[in-house]
Amino acid sequence: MTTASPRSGIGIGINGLAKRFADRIVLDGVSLDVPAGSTMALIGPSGGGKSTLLRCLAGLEPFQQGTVAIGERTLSADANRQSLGWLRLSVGMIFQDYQLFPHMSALANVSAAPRWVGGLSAAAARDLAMDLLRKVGMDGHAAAFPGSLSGGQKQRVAIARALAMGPRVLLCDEITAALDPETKSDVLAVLEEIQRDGLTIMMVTHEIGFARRAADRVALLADGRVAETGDAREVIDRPSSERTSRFLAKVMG
Amino acid sequence: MAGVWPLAILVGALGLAPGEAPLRWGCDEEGGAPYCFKRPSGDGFERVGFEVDIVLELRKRLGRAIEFTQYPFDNLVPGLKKRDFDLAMNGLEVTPDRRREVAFTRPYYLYRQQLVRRKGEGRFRDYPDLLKALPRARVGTMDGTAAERLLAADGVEVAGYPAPTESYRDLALGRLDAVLLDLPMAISYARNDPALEFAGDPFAPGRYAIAVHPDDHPLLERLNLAIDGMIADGALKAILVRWGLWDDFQETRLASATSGGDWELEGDSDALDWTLSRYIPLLLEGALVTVQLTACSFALAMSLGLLVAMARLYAPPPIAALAVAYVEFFRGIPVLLLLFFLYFGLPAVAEGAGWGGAAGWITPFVAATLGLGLNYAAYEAEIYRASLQAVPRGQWEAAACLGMPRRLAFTHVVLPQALRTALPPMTGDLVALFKDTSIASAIALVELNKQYQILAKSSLKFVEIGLVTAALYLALSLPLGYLSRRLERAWSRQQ
Repeated sequence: MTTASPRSGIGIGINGLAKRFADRIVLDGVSLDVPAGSTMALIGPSGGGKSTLLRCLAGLEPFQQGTVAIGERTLSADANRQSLGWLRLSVGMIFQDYQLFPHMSALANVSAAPRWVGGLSAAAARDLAMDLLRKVGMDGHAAAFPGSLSGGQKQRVAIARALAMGPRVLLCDEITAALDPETKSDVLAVLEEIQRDGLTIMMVTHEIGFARRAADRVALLADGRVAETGDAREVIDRPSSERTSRFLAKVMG
Repeated sequence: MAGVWPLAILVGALGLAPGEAPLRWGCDEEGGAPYCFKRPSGDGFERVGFEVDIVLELRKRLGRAIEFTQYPFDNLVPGLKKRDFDLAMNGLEVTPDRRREVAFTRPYYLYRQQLVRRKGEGRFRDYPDLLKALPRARVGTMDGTAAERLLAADGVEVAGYPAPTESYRDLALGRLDAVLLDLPMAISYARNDPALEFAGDPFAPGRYAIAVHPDDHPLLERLNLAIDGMIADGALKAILVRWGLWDDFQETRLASATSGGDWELEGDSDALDWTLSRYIPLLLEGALVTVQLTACSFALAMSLGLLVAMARLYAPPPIAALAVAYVEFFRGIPVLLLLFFLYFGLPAVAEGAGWGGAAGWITPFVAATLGLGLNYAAYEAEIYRASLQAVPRGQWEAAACLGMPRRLAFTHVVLPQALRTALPPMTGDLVALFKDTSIASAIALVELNKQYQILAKSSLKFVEIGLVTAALYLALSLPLGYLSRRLERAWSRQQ
C-alpha cells in the first residue's frame, strides 16, 4: 500500500554492510534502500541476519564494513560515540519482548526520554506522552504498570515510547511474534496508523500477509545476504529467486 | 571406661589419695599481671603471678592438686555457681552482692583503687578533683570490677575493657581522661609507663578473697585455715613482697581482716537498688547507641557496596579486580578481628605514618561503624552485583535506543529495578547487622549488649535484665522485618 510521502529522498540507506560475531559472518555485504516515508518488510529464515540488521541500524551492534544512512547523514563502521547518540535519537526501536521499564507506569515509560534526554518540562513531557498513548489507544491505561498489561497493550505502549523522541525511522523487530492473533491485529492496526504519518519503517516480520498488505517493499534476507528485494506484492506473489520461492512455500504452507 | 586407668595411674603417681580429684581453679589469664598471666619462657610461655604463687603454697598446705581452668574474669561468679570449677581466685573483690551468691575466704590481699592520668595532665589532681573538674570525663576500667561500679555510682562515663593493657593504652592515646583500676594493675602497667602517672593516693579499699560455691563449707574452712597459716608464718607476705604488693596497708590491716563486716567498700553497689526503673533507662540508652550504630554502618555498607559492585561490573579490569579482592578480603576475615584492628591497631599505624591525631577521632563508635560497614559492604556488593546482573540486557538496549546515555540508563532504569531485587536479601542483612552490632562491645562501646553485660554483672540479675534486653532487641528487629515485607509487597504489586 503505497502512501503519498510527505518527505522525499532517502529514508534508510544501507551500503555494503558486513557484520561478524567472532569468525561467524552474520551480514555479508547487505545493501538496501528504503525511500523516506515508505515501509520495508524484512522476511527470511531464522538466523538469516534480519534482527542483526535492525540492531546495526539502531546503533546497538557495531559492524565491521559498509555504511548506514538515516536521511542525509551517513554512519560508517568506525562511528564515534557522538554519531551513535545521534543515530539512536533518529531511530525508534520496538522489541519483540517489549522491554518496557517495569518500575514505571505506562505514562512514565513514554515520558521518560523526552523528560530526561529531550529536556522537556515534566508537564510538557506528560502532555506529549498522553498524546502518544492516545494515538496507540492506551490513554486509558496511562497509570498502569507494565506488569498489569496484556502483551498487546504492552506492545502498544512500547510503540508510543519508540515515537516519543520524534524519530524519522521506526525499527520493528518481530513485534507481533509473542502475541495471540486478536491482539496482534490491534498492534498491526496501530502500525498502519503510524505509516500514515510519513515515518520510514523497517520491520522484521513473519506475517507474510501483513507484509504484503502494509509494506511497500519487501527484502528477503538469507545467510546474511539480500536474496531478493522489490515491490511487496510482486515479490510475494511472483518471487523471482528460487530462494524466495522456497522460503515462501515453507511459511505459507 | 578405657580413659580411667591412665588417670588413676597419674593420680597414684602424684601420691594423692584416690578419690580426691584435683581442685579446679577458675581464673582469667587474659586479665594480666600481676595476678596470673603468661610470660615468655624459653621456647614457650609459663604461667606466673602472685596468685599462681599463692596456689602453689595452697597446694602444699591442702595436700591436694589444683589445676588451672581458664575462665572469663567477669563470669567467674556465675561459673562458680554452675560448678565449672571449685574455686575462683583472680583479684575477685569481695562485694555484698557477690557474697550473696558465693562464699568468700578471708582476704589474701587488700586492694585499693588507683587513679592514673596522662603525664602532665593539668585538669585534675586526684579522683575527687576529677569528679569536680570534669563532669563529662570518660574513665576507663575493667569489666566487672569494683572500680567499674564505683565509677557508675559516681555518674562517670565508664569505658569497660576486657583487660587493663587496652585501657592504659587508650589513656596514653588520649581516648580516655583517666583510668581507675586496682592498685596491683596500676603498679604492673602504669607506674613504669613514661606517658602515664598516678593521680593522687590509692583509695576505696576492699578485699581480694578466694570464692567457693556457697554449699562447699569444708573447702571454705580448709582454705581459710591454709590462708591463716600463710599469714602467720609469713609465706603470704613473702609472696606479696616478691611482687611489689606489700605496703603499709597490708602490714597494718591484712592480719586482722576477715571476709567481711569490719569495713564496707566505699561506693559499693549494695547501696544501689537494682530496680526496673534504675536499669531500664540505661538499657534504653544502650539501645539508642545500637540503633545509631546499625543506621550508620548500614548506610556505609549500602553505599560502599554499590560502588564496589559497580566497579566489579563496569570498571576496567584492574579496578574490577580490586573490587573482587575487596569482597573476598572482607568476607574472609572475622568482624571482631577487623574491629580490634581498626580500634587498637589503626592509631599505631596512623602514628607511624606521622598522623598522630588519628587516635583522637577513632572512637569506639567510629571504629565499630567502619568495621561493620566495611564488612557488610562486601556482602551488599554481592547482592547488588547479582541484582544488577538480573536486569535483562534488553533494558539497557531499550534505554540506549531512547537516546539515554549509559549513566542515565543506569541511575533511572537499571538501578531502580536492581534495588527491588536486592531489597529482600538486604533487609535480611540489616537485621543480621543489627544483631552483629553487639560485637562492638568488645571495643568498649556501650551499646545494648554491653549495657546488659555491665548491668547483669553488677546486679547479678542475668535472667531478669537479660529478658528485658532480649525484648528490646526484638522490639527493634521485628518491626524492621515487618516494614521490609510491606515494602516488598508494595513494590511487587507495581510490576
